[in-house]
Amino acid sequence: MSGVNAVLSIARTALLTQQMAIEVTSHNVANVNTPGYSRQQLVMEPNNSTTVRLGQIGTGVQGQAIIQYHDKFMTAKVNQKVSTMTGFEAKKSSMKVVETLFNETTEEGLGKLLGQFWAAWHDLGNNPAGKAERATLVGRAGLLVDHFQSLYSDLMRLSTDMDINLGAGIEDINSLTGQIADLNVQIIAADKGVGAANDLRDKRDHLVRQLAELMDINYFEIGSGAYTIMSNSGHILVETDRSWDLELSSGQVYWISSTGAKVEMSSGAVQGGKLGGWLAVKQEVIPDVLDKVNNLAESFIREVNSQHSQGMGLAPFTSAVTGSYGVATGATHPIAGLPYGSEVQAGSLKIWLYDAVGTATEVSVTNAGWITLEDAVADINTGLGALGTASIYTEGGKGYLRITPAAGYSIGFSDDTTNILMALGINTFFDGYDSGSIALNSVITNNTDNIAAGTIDSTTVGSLGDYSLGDNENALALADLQIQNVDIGGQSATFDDYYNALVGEIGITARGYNSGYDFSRNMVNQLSQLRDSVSGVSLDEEMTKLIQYQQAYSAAARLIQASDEMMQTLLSAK
Amino acid sequence: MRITMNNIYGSIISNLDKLADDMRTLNETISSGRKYTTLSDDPVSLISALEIRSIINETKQYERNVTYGILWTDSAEIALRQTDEILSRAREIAVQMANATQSAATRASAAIEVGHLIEQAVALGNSQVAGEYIFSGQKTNIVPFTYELVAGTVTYNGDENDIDIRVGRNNSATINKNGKDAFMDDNETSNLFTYLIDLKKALEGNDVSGIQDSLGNLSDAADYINEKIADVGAKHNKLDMKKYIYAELQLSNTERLSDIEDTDLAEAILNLKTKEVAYQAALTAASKVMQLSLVDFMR
Repeated sequence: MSGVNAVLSIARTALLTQQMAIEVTSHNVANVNTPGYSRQQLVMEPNNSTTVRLGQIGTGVQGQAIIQYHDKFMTAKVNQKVSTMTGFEAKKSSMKVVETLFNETTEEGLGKLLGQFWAAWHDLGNNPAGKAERATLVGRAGLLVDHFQSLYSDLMRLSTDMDINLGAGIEDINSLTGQIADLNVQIIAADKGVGAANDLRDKRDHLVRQLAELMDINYFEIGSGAYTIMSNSGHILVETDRSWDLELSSGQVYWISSTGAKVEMSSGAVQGGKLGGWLAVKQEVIPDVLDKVNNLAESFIREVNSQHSQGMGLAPFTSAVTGSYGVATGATHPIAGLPYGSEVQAGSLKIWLYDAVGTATEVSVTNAGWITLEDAVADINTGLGALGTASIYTEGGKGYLRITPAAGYSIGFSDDTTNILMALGINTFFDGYDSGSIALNSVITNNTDNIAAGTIDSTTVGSLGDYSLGDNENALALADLQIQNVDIGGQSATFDDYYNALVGEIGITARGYNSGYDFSRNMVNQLSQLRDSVSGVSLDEEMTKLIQYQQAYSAAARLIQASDEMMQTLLSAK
Repeated sequence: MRITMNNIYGSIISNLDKLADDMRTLNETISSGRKYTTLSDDPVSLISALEIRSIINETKQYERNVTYGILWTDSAEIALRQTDEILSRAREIAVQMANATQSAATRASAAIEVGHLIEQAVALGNSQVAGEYIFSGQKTNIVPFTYELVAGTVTYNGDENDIDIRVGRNNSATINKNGKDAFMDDNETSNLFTYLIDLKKALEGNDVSGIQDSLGNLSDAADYINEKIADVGAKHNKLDMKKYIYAELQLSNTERLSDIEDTDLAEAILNLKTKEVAYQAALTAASKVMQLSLVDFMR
């Protein structure tokens, strides 16, 4: 068919097709800021031509497809790096909290308080009978105790925060995988009829990116157009129209199988994404730091108590002395059940009993294999005779060893090589056994005279059992603990060295996370730039195309006008 | 490369962010005066800073201990010097009164002066520092010397223990001298107190040969006290030396610490200026780029 009508028909296809192209362009312009949007373009092709005598003649234009500029490979790469980046981001921001807890740059941290504690012992050594020095020591020890406890509770709170984050993150993941499965269904349906469902795909890719921000995933598109998504460890999350949920229970992530069985995802199964970051902080960083703080507190209490129990306050104890560490009451009270029970060893200790005028009687007690508190009580009682009694005092389901001097007598201790006093908490300075339980022994807080700055003379013949207010030997021995290597969590180090190493380690870990984040963020930025250069909308380009299509549209309109005029010419032929 | 809106605006934002963050960090180092404010800023420097800081604190404490020790040795030295003066005065009296021309009455009045001297010597032996007796060994709450006027005896009530303080790592100094050693030559039956009491008795009894005997004894006692003064003086000097060393150490360590953690202001401000210029340039460039749009040219 040729002739005037053919011109009109060609002009019509041109009008409609250019109009459609303008529509696609305006869709691009409208979505210039839509995250995850890939620019689209109408692909045009000439209409089937008709054969005339001279050959073939064209019949106009038609839209072949609306295609999407989308680089699947690049998008997958971006998503992969996004998981790494958000993983570091989560670790970095949690580490910021840990850093603040140990911020020694402001000089207000545990290190400074430890220093002040030792200094207070030096000051007490300079003036062993001084009330003010004793009060200062108790005050500083109190600050140290508070700081240990707040480190413990802050780390625990951070751990709880991680649980809350993990719970919310897993909810997000479950909702995202559900939405992706829904979109899979819609895309399959849409693709069947009119080709690629561009906008649905963009929407799905955007959801996948959000999922990648939460955890590291692998995904691929199957023939029908649906995505199959798996976790890094191979647990399937989305397949066509189905999604599998994750669940958090007691700090562990579980994958729920089709039969509803809970499968624990091993640590390391989720490494990237916010979820991976939070899990690493919860399962590795916090326990590691807390362990070290606890080791420090445990050794600190042990060493201070051990030395303190060798000394003597300003006066002997005038009433019953009760240990601060107890063992759960059973048939017997095993020493191994005490927090520091394992430190008890063979040896001996001296108990001094002073009568009303201060005459001292020495009682030596030997540990030849005590297993239970009862064993120790029996030996102490044999030694004490009529001068006092040892017994087990029960309170709150726990047995504590108590030594009661006979009426008119008071009691002091020295030369304990068995560590039993330290293990029982008799004549000790601190109570507790880790950073959460550390406290001052109430015997000290009730009466600072009980701070053992001096020692009982157990060697000089003629003055056995003597003690004097000017004696500072035990205070100096305690102050010397600052510079001694002691066993902390299996390594030999001074308290300062161990703590400084911990602080340094935290700093280095945090720095590692910071640079990991910076690096992966740069990667994501660069890859996103590459992706955007393919898929992003350029307004200038769209405007150029707009003009291009608009002019084509005007020209098509001119064709109609021309064919109209041609008609007029024909019709007006006389 | 095809440049899209996301490319243009994304890079403007990330570049401005980075510059702003750099400026913030520099600002913080300038206003806080520290090169780093969190552990992760510079963990390696931080560890050495922590070490130096604990050394500084330790030195400070040793300096405090030394100052305290100096107080004690100083007080002991003064007490012993004054005792030496008392002994000189007693010797003067003995020399005067040994002269045959002196009468029993003048000797009796001299005896009263010697009585005062004894009391003074005992009082010096009972010298205190901040409420603690410095010559009673570790029994610092017990009056070391008691003078029984009637019986004419001076007894020592303290013990013979040393008081040590820490003046350095594994380094102690004895800061006291027990009274028995310092005043009595470890001999409770013949010492400067008994010599003075003997002199007083001889004067009271108008016993010239007794006075002459005590003259020799007092010289011996003076020699002994001088020996002790030298002894305490040596301790004092040792402590003074330590104090000086610690003051120097303190200074050099504080300098080292400052090198590690204090901001080099000149450098930081210069860097901040550079960043400021860069930031302004970036803003200008961004505003130029953002103004460009084909839309503006379409009619």
